[in-house]
Amino acid sequence: MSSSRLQLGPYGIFLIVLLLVSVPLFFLILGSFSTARLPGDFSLSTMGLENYVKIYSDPGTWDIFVNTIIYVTGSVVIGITLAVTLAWLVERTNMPGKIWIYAGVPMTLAVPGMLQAMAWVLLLSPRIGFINKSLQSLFGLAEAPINIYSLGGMIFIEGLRLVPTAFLMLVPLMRGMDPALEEAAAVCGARPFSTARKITMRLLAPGLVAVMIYQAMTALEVFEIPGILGLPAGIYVFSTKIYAVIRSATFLPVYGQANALAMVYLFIALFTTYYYTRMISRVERYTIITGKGYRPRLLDLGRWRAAAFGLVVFYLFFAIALPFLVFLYTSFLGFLQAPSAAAFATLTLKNYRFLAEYGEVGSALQNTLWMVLITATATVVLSFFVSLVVVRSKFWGRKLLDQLAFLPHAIPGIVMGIAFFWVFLKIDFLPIYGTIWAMAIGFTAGFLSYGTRSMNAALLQVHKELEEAAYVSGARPWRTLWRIFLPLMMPSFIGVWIWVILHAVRIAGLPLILYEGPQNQVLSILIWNMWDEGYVPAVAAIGTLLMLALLLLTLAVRYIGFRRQLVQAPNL
Amino acid sequence: MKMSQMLVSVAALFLLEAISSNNARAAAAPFPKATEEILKKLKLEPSILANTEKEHEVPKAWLDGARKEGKLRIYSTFDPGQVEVLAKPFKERYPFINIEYNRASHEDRAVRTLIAYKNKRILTDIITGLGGSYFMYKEIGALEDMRNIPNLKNNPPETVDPEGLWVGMHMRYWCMAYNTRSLKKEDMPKRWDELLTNPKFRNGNLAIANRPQLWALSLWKANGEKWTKDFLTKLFNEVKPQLRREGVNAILELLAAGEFNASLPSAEYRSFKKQQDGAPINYHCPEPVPTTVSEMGVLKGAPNINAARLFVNWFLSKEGQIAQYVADYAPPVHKDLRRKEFVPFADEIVPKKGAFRDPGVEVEIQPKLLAFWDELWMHSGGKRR
Repeated sequence: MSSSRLQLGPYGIFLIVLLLVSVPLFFLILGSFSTARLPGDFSLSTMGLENYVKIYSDPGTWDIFVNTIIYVTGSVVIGITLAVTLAWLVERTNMPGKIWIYAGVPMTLAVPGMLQAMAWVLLLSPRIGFINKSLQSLFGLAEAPINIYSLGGMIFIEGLRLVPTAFLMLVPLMRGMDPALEEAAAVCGARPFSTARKITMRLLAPGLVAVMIYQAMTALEVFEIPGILGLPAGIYVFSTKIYAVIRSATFLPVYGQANALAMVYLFIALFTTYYYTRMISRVERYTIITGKGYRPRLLDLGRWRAAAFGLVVFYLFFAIALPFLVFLYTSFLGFLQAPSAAAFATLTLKNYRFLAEYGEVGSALQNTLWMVLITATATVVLSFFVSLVVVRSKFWGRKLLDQLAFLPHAIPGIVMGIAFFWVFLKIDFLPIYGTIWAMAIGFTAGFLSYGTRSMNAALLQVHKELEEAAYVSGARPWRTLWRIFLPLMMPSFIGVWIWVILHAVRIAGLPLILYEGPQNQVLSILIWNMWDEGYVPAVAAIGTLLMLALLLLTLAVRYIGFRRQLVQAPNL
Repeated sequence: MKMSQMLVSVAALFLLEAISSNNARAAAAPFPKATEEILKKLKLEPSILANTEKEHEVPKAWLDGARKEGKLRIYSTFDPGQVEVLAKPFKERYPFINIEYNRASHEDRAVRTLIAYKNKRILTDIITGLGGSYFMYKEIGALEDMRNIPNLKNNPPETVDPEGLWVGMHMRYWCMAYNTRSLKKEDMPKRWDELLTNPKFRNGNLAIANRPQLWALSLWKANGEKWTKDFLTKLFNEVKPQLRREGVNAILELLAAGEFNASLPSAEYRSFKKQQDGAPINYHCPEPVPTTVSEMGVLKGAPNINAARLFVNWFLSKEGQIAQYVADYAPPVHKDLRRKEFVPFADEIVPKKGAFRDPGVEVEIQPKLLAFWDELWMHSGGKRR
């Protein structure tokens, strides 16, 4: 059966992606050679290699490379190890209390990084950190035992921050696996952990590599943790260097130099995508959902159940509950201060009152809701069709399409924002600038890399025989999509949709450039401006409410899902 | 006295009475209700605004034009809540103008507005805090000449651009804030050089923000290039401060929490507000006191030009200046309001020698300062610890 039947307008999809990606890419590449003061002012007279010479002849840049490699590697190792463990425990084993992992792990996702970093400063700073102070008084230590302002501290915190995203990416993969091979291993006498290592992990390889690549790029790009925790100790990594150049003290940001630095991201993105494309070229090695007896079953952890549960409780307490408690506590403060009897005596509701009275909160929430819904839906739909072309079709440009879809992850949000800002001004016959649509388009381009990584991995697990059976039965392509792909890939669709919503809520770089006023102000801008103005306790109040809202949302979603599972398997 | 003479005298008396009572009415209730509330809040006598009605006299064409425009767009750094407070009297005076306010940091404001302007799109009518990007606005002719706005004359001459392209909207004094639990007043440096030698500020006990133009530029102008470069080099290399990526206001929060002993630069108005909130912080100015104004400009070709002129004129009036003070504690720039009661931490500022940063001079000095600063800032990191 020819797979060409599933080529649903690959040229159209290619064109859409090309347009969405080429605009910021054009700005990134051309801008890296431009010495003009304003981005968008391209002319031959301002072109040259000056930015590259300035950046790459600086010996400090090479020191930063070393820091960055250690930082990214360490963060990804911590983040992926924890995420794989958690996803495996909830999806592939009979561990108790799973609903708390599903609900708890994503809680920090929508909270801006700067706020998370601030929470960890209050917990682990050598001067005011609550944990440090407690350890000092408990063991009579003269000095604080932990210094969050260090490379180790940055790695640890960024590693924890990577967990929720990786977890959400891995859960659908784990859920979609046929347990036939694991059962065969069990029959042959293999222990659960041995099976997990030798069977589960190997089957997961392509998906896992995609997640690791994505997370490595995220750790490379995100500047909040290294900015707040590294800079005070004089530790630069690549993202803080780019941020420092963009937000330097000079007249206007030196975008050309930032772009020249960001070309490293582009190079890494190209290299990893090439490597990844080669790896998945033999797709059928990794297909797990076939037409023959696909029925998920759980591994019995036996006496390890309690230990696994303990591990998860420790993680949830340390990575989620502690920062949440810090937000909660800070949200009742008049000004930022370490916990003490005096501080507790002055707790106030004024920050919540402030939010209730702050005129722009309501409109920002409404704008945010529409913006994230549009972005998430557009990302899911576009990513699915891109992945369908990439994974299933024989379209000549499928590899290029895959690489194009991944490249936006290499473009810093602010550069992306300026590129779209410029375009929307140029095409002012379309009333896009100043609306939430402007942000939705920019974000969709940015999140395409995540969406396609997840969809690629999920599609790889669906064996061709299922759609071939549909074709043989005379089903049209749209019916095949509706009856085969939609139900089988629903966890991935929902996963990507939720992930995009949570990330679009918290990211401020792109909206800061594309917003024009109250009519398209979103929550992240409100938070950013309030943070910038020093309303840290009020921002903590927003963080608290966001985390609670996420907890309730995921609890509700999971509760519905669990009730259905409980009916089918009452021993959960 | 003849009857006719008597009648004339009585008529004259009535006329005088009528004139004087009219005058009394004019003096008794000349300002909006919101202004009265502001005066009450600040415990100021209404006489402070006596004879200021002339400050609100504007050409009829501006009023007619603003009525047609019906709105005004402003880009600034005030909180929306503060704008609500400060603009109340303005809205009472000009109820036909609807203010669309947009808050953004300097980089976002400057870059967005400039790119759009070059693409023939005017995003705002009024922009404030032009700062370092002023020369670019000037270069592309993006700013309106405001010399026809009557209240520009209320400002001291050094706070108005000779070509009328910007005008100072309030004063700023960028000094230091300190945590009163970690430091005493006696620990604070009397002159800037003392900051380099006091061990209480060394090795991470002082936090600095990436905003040298706010304070070091004034010192460069007062003490010269060599002194400033030596000072900054020693500050980075010997004092080894914490480099903080947070904005100057978020840094104040960390200062209150005790994450460092002192912060640089900190403004009087924000430190005062934090102190009012109960934070254990105080404000201190080594001499000379870095002094500046925040600039305000109107974009050339602004669609709501008349409303913009009315707003700038009102903002520079005594009423406008007092209203912005009550919203933000920012010391007024109006010549008649440069008084101690309008300057938070006045004892740290008023008696001391100041170093005024003239935005016009910035064009010459600022690039050199910032290039030097960026090198120090960028090269204070990079090593693994």
